[in-house]
Amino acid sequence: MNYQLIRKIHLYACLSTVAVLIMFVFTSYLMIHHKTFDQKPIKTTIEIEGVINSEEDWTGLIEAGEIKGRMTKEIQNENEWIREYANAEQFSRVSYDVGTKKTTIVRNDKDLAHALIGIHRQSGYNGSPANFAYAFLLDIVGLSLIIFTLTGVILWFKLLKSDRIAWIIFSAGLLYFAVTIYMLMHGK
Amino acid sequence: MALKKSLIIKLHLYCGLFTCFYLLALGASSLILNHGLQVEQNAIKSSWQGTIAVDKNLDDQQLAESAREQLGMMGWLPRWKYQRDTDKFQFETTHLAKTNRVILDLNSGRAHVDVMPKGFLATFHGLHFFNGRIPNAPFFLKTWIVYQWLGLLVLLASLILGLWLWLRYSHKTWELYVFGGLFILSILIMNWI
Repeated sequence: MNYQLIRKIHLYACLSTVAVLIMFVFTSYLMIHHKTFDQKPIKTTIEIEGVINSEEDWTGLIEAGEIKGRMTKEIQNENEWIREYANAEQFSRVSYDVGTKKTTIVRNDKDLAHALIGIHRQSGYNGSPANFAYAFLLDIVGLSLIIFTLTGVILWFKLLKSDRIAWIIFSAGLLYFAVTIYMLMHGK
Repeated sequence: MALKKSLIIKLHLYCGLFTCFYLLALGASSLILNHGLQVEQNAIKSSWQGTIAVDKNLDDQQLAESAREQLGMMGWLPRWKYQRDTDKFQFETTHLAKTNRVILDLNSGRAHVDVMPKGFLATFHGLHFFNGRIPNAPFFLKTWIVYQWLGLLVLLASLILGLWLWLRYSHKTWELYVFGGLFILSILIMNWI
């Protein structure tokens, strides 16, 4: 394949995802050093009385509890109905006691570091248009990581194949990666 | 100037090669996560047996830890998997690449281990979350945290060097507008969620 074409693919695959990649690198460090930033979220509990009959009632509860994000879990049993909602900065649990007809909303607002980590942890196409757009970005990032890695290796072979240091780094990386996977898969 | 350019190209290459396998794992893992794909296998593929010293006075957690160490296994011990009666104790060790189910005879100390490998793809995907801290793991696996830390730093360096090369030597105006716009749009989307 043409060198210039591969170079363009390598470049554009990276350029299209650079903002998300920088976010991932930054938030990965936040996750690795999470103890440094560990703060408990601000917890707010709200209790509301009243029967839940329809989806509109749930919408009213979401508004009353100032809940943000998409629904991540729904459990309905005889005694209790539970819905959980989350976005990058908030996690909320709404539980409705069928017997007493009382709803408890527990809302957890995260600090900045954990809200940023929350962006890193978002995935999936369900939810709002923003969630869809972010999931689409994630797919592009996933594909780009694979494409610009592979095209980078092809470019190396075309341009600097005889570079001894490059071979040492590549071989050491491959060996380390292969031994790690082997030990994980075949160790006790 | 030519020397400086070739040096930066080489540095960009070295950084990229250092981190390329990790990036492949991250790329595959991001796609798996985003589409909620189930890649873990959970079938029993093999079994083996061993004999250990059993102290019946230990509680479930201590007994599972003791057995794990005597049998030379690594992995976390999910508490909800403990099952104990007068003669037998069952528990599991688990990590990103496999789950072992251990059935321990409390009288004879004989342990029967069922091995359930999760498969290559699950292991490759699991490296995304791996921090080298599997209980009772060999020292080599603990070095992953260093590789991960350096890998991210080197990725950032490679990214900056690549961007610098593009901006300094080969960028076109339309590329600046298109990818600059995409950069801002990405930040807005991240802020939006």
